[in-house]
Amino acid sequence: MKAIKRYVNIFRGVRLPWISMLVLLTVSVIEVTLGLASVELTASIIDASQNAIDGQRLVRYAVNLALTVAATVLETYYGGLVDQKIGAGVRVKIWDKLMRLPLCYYDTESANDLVSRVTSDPGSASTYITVGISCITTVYATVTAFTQLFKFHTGLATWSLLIIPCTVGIGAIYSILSYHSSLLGTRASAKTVGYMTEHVHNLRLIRALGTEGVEKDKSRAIFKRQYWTDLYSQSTVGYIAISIQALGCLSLAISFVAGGRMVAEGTLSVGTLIVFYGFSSMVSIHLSNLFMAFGSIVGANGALKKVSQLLEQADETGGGQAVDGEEDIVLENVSFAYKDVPVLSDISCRLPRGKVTAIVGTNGAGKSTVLKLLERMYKPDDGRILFGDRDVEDYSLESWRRALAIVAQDTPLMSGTVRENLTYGLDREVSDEELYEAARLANAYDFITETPGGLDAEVGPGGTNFSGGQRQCLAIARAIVRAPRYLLLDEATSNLDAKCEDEVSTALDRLMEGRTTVMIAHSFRATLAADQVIVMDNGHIVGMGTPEELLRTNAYYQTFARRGEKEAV
Amino acid sequence: MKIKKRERNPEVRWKSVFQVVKRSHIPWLWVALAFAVNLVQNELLIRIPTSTASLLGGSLEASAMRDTIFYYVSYAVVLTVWNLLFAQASCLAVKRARDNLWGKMLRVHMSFYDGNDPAELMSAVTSDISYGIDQTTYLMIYLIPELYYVYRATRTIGNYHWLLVVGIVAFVPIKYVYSLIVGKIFYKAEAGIYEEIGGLTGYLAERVRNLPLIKTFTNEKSERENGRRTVNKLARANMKEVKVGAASSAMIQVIDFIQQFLLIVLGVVLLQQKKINMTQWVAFFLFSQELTNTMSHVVNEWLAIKMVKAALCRAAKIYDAPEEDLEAPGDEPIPETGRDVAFDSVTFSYGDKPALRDVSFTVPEGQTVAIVGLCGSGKTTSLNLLERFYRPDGGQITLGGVDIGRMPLDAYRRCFSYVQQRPEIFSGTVREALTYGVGREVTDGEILEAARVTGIADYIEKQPQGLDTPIAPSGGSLSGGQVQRLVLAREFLRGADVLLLDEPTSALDAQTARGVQDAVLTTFSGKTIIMVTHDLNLTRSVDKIVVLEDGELVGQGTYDSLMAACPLFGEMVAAQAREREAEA
Repeated sequence: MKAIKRYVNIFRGVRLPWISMLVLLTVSVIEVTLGLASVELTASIIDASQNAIDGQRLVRYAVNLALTVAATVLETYYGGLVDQKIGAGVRVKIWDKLMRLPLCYYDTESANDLVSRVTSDPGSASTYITVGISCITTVYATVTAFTQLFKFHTGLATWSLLIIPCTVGIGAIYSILSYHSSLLGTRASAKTVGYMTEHVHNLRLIRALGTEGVEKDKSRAIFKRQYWTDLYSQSTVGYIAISIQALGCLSLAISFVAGGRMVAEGTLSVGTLIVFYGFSSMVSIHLSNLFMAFGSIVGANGALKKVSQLLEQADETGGGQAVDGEEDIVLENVSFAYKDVPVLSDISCRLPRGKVTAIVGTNGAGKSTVLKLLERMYKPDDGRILFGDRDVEDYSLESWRRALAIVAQDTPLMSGTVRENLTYGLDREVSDEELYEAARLANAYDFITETPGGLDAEVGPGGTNFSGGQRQCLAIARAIVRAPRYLLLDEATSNLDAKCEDEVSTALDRLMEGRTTVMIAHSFRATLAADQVIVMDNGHIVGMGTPEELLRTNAYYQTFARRGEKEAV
Repeated sequence: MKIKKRERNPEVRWKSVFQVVKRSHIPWLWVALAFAVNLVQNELLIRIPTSTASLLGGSLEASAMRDTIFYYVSYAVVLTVWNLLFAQASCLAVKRARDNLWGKMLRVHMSFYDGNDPAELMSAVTSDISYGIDQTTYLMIYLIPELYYVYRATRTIGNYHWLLVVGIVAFVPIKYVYSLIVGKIFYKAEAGIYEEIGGLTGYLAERVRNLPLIKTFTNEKSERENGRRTVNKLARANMKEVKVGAASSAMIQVIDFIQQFLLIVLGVVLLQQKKINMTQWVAFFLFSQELTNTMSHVVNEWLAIKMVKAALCRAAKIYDAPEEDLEAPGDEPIPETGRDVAFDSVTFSYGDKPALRDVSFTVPEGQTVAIVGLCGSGKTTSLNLLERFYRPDGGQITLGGVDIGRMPLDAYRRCFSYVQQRPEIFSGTVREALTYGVGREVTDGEILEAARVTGIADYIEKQPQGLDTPIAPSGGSLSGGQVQRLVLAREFLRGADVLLLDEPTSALDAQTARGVQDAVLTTFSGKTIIMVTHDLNLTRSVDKIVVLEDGELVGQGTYDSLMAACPLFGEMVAAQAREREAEA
């Protein structure tokens, strides 16, 4: 019951294409009716006990055939239409939800999984509706066919009821098999694909370490598992073919064994027996269609479960206050754990407005987490972050994030034009002059103008058609255009070679001018320009003050400085 | 969709595709069994209409009924057996084909991978094989029995009247030509649609992957609109596909309908002229449906063969690629002592792009040598040649005075440790990562010792699961420095004699880089170290520096001697100093 409610929830708020659905239902009913009518016509054509074939019936048969073709085509069309409309509705709903989810959700699911939530899963959702419609017609067809059977011969029809429990049994087994095999199948192929992705990219390592033999064995085990699940799912498909055949045998046996005796007794004409056989085969065909439909619903179950789980997640929340003016940002006894591993414990510090604060510390000290909390991508588990003297949670997320810009070591670009990337997330018109000015400040002007297309040049997915340094300069230009009051820098120059680093650093200096900046610094030189340096270790703040003070008092900062000096020889 | 795209891929010969099938080790026994059972199945299929027709003719004697029911039941039983056999044959064939193809990929010469997209190679082993080989076994098992059925059924019908056969066979070429034309038209339409769908799906996927960016830039609102637009476009593109599909199936159904109707008219005419009797007419009617279905099937199988060819073309390319000869015993053993590494007038080019020209230098055993130079000067190529991923075009590389090309490859590679810029580690547990490729039993004590030497022990001990801590693909949550230290620990355990370093610290921040650097020196002190680097500060302490420029050796010696004698080296050092200044 709970499951049903869940699935209904998926469609809540999705506008269902009722008219198309109705047309689909009507067309399918017409198709089924034509099918039923053709039974009698066919029977009259193949009733070998008569002496000739009625020409009029032949014409009716032809008309019926032609109409069936038309109905089938319409059914395909409207089936597709309903499928697409519902799929699009569900897709939009999932998409909207993704836009509202807090970032922590993205840590629990891999990016590839999330992608399939949007790309493939909505299709499974609409399957539910189309299969539902075909279930209705199938039930209608079965009931009508049975009614006809009873009309022809009650005694014989009673025998035919035997088909029902058999079908139910077969259908029940099929749903179990199909659920199980699709579950195992998904797992096994995820494993195969995962193994292949990782190892195809690292073939060189395998060669260098001479582990071809090891990998051969590992892959054999994985492919073997894939083989078993393939075998399982193929057999499940085969099971259906066999079942249909077995039901056909059953209806033949019932018609001719029971019917044959009645013909011999003279209580049944051969013609009626043939029509009867036609209907009873039809019943078994429709019933097997019904359990195939069950199978496909069951197969879609896994995807729907994930979709409904996604839709049940809580949205990202924030207050309604708009950020106005510039204040100090204060972290007050902030603690944060990432998947039960403590990352920050009891951090308190003040990030004064208009000043530059540098954070230094070893890998894993929690520096990047501080920035994430400032962006309000996560919420502190304990303590709070204040803007002036108000909790940041009181401010709306949108206006808060609009006041910030972040440049990290691998800030991504999106596919689109250079212009689209530079104005990304802005809701105002930006003139070319302004963009060029920003590009100039970010040392991006030269390569933008040299690229064919200039501002309208296409950026490939992930920005791969620009070099690392160019991407970083574009990211800085984007931040400049955004004109944030607060600037967060996460080792913005660490991935670059010396020459690029130089260009990017000067661009960053211009960006930082007059802005409250929080930077994670990886070189001693960069911290010298800071008004305040925070030294972090293992989730704690172990030192805070001006560079000069820390040079006297903080051991870590002293080594940091010595290394920096050595570097600059 | 991928298969269709691939069809545009020219230049795959049938011979290569047969090679793929041949080298896939098809389970012939299972295929033969399934084939035999399928023949039996078709034989029964031929008998069913005649006996059913006599039932429908009203001859309801026990024997006729028994026969008919017997045929039906045996058909069901044979179908069951056939299904199981076919599933077994095709799944096993796919598995074996995968094993063999991946085995081949593990042996293919590394140069093959330069020109090929890893993602494509991956789908060669995953989706291509499962489609291609599955279809191949299907064709092997199906095609001949189907032709047998067509032959037998036409003969039976021919016994009734020869015109009936003509009526059925006449439609075969019509249908074939028709499906070719229709197929071509719809194929074109569909190819465009698939491309559109692919693009739109790709757009959505990119946005989902970059959700954090969208949040940072508070662009949710306009992305919502973008998403809506894309989803609607996607629905419209899909709808186009539905329309094309509906239209093409309508065309095919119309021709089926005409055929069926004409056959009935033909039968009725013959019946009225008393050329056939009523029972024959009924049998013909029952046959005609199955027979036309089977014939269309055979025609479609011809198209399926083309698809198989397209699907297996990547696999064919892999099988055609040259192999490294791993096991071939080189005639020269690895020298036990005096393992100096020497480049002797080595020349090499990638295709027609020259990479190294006449380079000679020596790395004495136990010394540290740095190879420096600008981008594209041939530094990394030297390491590739040394690891025998490529062969020099001219000159030779020697280890202990012996040409390395003459030593057994796997034993030779075991002499080297290779640590590169982007550290490579496989997912699994920490223990698995550290013992990967070590090739002997290693105690936990040894592993922890290696971890201590390389400075990753602290991290491991902090984890609640210790050595069993899982590592996600490509390192997951581990930082670059941590992964690099894990790699060093692994190489320490492997204990190779020569350490090759390809800018192992350039992706790390300065501080972590120092740490890793120190770890390298302490871990591998006393070993021969060959490092490629652009950080010239590191080269102050090495025994020898080799300077390359555009593939040519322009200087070798110590830091100080090069400063005096090699102008390029002096320039590079000066440039680096300037950059450091500028940064400050």
